[in-house]
Amino acid sequence: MNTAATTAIANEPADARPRARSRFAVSPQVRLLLLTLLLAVVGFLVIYPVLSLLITSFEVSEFGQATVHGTSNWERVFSQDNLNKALWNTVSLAFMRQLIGVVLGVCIAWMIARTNLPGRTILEVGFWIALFMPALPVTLSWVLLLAGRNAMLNQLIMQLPFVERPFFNIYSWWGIVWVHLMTSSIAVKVFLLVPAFRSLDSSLEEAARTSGASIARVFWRIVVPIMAPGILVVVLLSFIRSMQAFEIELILGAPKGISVFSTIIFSAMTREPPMQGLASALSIVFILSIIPFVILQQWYSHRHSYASISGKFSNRVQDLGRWRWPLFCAIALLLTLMTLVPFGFLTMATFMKMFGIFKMATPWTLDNWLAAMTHGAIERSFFNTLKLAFSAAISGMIAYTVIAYVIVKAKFYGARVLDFFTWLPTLVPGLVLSLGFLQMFTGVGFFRPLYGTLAVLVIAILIGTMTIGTQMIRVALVQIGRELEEAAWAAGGSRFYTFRRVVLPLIAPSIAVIGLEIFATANAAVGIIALLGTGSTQPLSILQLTLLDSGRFEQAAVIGVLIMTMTIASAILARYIGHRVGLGHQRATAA
Amino acid sequence: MTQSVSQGEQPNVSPVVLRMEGVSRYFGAHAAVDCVSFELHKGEVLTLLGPSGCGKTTTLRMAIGLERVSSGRVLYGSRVIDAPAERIFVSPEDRDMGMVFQSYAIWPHMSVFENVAFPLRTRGAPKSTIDSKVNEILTHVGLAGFAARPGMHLSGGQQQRVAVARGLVANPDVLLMDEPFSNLDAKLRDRLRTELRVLQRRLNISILFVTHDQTEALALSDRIAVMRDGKIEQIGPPIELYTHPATPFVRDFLGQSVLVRARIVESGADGTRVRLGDGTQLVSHGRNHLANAATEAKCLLSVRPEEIRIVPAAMNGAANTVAGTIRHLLFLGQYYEAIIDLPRGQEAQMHLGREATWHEGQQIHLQFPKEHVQIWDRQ
Repeated sequence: MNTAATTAIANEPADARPRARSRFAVSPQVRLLLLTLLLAVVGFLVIYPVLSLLITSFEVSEFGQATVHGTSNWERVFSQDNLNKALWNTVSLAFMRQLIGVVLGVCIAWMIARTNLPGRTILEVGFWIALFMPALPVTLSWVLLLAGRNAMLNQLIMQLPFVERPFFNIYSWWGIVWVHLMTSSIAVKVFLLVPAFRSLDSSLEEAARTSGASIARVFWRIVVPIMAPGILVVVLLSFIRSMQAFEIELILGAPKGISVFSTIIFSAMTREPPMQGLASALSIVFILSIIPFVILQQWYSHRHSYASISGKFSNRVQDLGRWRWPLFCAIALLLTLMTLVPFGFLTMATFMKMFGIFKMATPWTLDNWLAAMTHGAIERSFFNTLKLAFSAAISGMIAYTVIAYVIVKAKFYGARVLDFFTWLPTLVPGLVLSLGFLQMFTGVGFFRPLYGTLAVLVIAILIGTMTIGTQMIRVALVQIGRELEEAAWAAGGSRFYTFRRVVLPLIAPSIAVIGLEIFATANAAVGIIALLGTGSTQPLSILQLTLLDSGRFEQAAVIGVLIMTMTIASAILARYIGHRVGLGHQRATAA
Repeated sequence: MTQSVSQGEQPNVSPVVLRMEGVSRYFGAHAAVDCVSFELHKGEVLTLLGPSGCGKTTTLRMAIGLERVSSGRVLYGSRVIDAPAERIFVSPEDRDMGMVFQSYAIWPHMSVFENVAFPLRTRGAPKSTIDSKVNEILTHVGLAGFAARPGMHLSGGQQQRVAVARGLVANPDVLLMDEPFSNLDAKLRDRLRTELRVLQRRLNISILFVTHDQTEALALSDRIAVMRDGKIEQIGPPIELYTHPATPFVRDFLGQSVLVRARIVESGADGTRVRLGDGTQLVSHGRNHLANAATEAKCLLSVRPEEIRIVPAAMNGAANTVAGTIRHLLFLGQYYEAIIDLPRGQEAQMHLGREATWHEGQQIHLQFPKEHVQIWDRQ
């Protein structure tokens, strides 16, 4: 539709009545200009950082000297066998996580969506919270539980007869896999697959049951093959995310020399003097190595959109029989390991002089909290985090709503390009984006005043969460029946008035959920701001990283508890709101 | 063909509220609506009737401005509201029409009151006016007392009433309705149809109505425009379209017909005489649609089944009859549904009354009243 709300009407005087609808009328030229400006800004923010990396990768001068161009960075990248090892670790770690994650994730998602598993609603909420668990604090708690001879769990196990050696060392390849499984690798699959399983027609399962198949056979022979395309799309998406992981690998891999792509870039940047050129060249290689998987994922998900979703389907649950309670216990145990264990033990750590050492005269103390409260850096970081999370959430809600609305509704030549731009950040690992932004904010004169302010971090967070934010609001917009808007126009509402009174109230819950997700992301973000949040703008997450690096676990635990509390709170709130939207949307589309 | 003015057709002297002048709408090279013209008069219900994809909804959407016309002009009263040649386009919100959508489009986050008040709010009406007008119209549609009900807690019929109230609350000159009964069950549909007709007469509103349901169109409309492939095939009062369809499409779309192949014997002042395959001769006083009515020209006779009288075979020699045999008979309570074999492998499907007893295999004669037999080209 044309927004030119009041296109010239020949021979007819405009209506004299004061109207809500003509107040915000914008001429088509101004509208086009504004949209083009939006396109340019978004395009610049997603493209420039990568472009800047490419340019920097050809700068070979020493730190602080005049710029010289050359290819020596690239020669170094390809002469290092470090790179091959990092590439291998990146891919193999991601692969193993996905392999275990998908098997468990698919089984659990099916049981939650399709069977009479006890407490499945609560379990689903549990996985939602697990999905939000911030990686760094969780890593820390597993370090405290499973790192070497002194770790609590290992000590407990060594008291058993015949166990001489520590049972498991978290500083290892498997340790990295374990912590990833405990944070997002399983939870994200449950989260994404449960709705897909719900839309499966249960008569397909029932037909197999009545043909004499056991419930396990129904699952493997009927459910999994039908859902295979959807499962594969989810797996590819998580695989890409896994390759981009940063903080868990940094903490757990570095002591044993297990490096991945993001950590070798980070170490190049934190060397004295920082090797910007090498880090940039590595970043470009990193992006290039991810691109094939993104193309594969896009190609595959376009070919196999979620099938088997028809208008009418029954959704009766399958009986797990005597396996109900054993399976419930297994899943509940897994969820406990994913949520309560990290949170509980991390909290415990904040009250101990030395975590896990009870043999002291007085193992318990409030010193850590007192120190944290009086520690200038922690207090400042706490407020930095709050400021960062709130400003990112608020500006993100506005920005993504505008972008999603333009993509879905506006007749604008650049709508498709804009859509493409919002997908681009998924390609770029957080740490690489961080490096790109660092170069953009220090290198481009126009932006230099911003460097060292919180605004830099806000922008980085916004670019990092742009894909999910825009796409979620876009889905909400698409779900609003077209006639709901047309009815408002027909009733005399202008574009703006209609948006405010009809569209916005209907997508408001989705926007709120996005706001909370940005809030949680900003709270826990490490990779994407690792190179930006230093000095006076340092948020809690980066301070925690620094403390961990220097081995001050108890103080890091205090910060971890703070981050976890804020993140879990926003996750629960988002879940509550999102659950209510789900219903609202069904009604809206059914209307 | 000769178009005689038939019963019920008087020139409408009420002012024209909506006029489409040679309106077309192209989607790519495909003409969804192809040079459609009609006028909607004050207080009139005009129905666009046709199968799905005939362009009726697109025509309606062009009237409100949700689609723009590719060529032609749309006038609202005396005001041009869409005319690409003159670079005029008034957007939907400035057209002051009311519209009822097929899905009703009740905003789920608003109460019944807020839904209905919306058109008044966009027009900047004062609060007191809004209150009184909304309550008045809710009473009219039978929803008094429902004002505070949330939009999503309404049954289908209630949603439809809210949609009508919302369409009418700002006193538009035209109410546009896009298949407003198609989402309701049959009983409710009949009741709401009657209610709408009563409300329309009481408020003297003009309605442009879109439907694919011929019963609905016949029951509701002052005039019907039958559409096919983006064009209007025929426009006129329901009785005129039913009794004097101008094209085979209109004939077959509205109601049933018994069709019989024949050849012209002679055309004269006393109607047209035709001969059936078995030699039976019939006379038609109805309309002759043949371009070439020369002797021996092939033609097709049509009669509405309810005009046919059944004459027992014994009473041979009755005028204008065709011999037939009852092949299948279904008792449906009020009447029998029969399939009757006619000469040369043709058949007629019609209702037989309960006043006589019928049986399968029975020989009967079908009497075609002369004035109801129409002659068509045999395609």
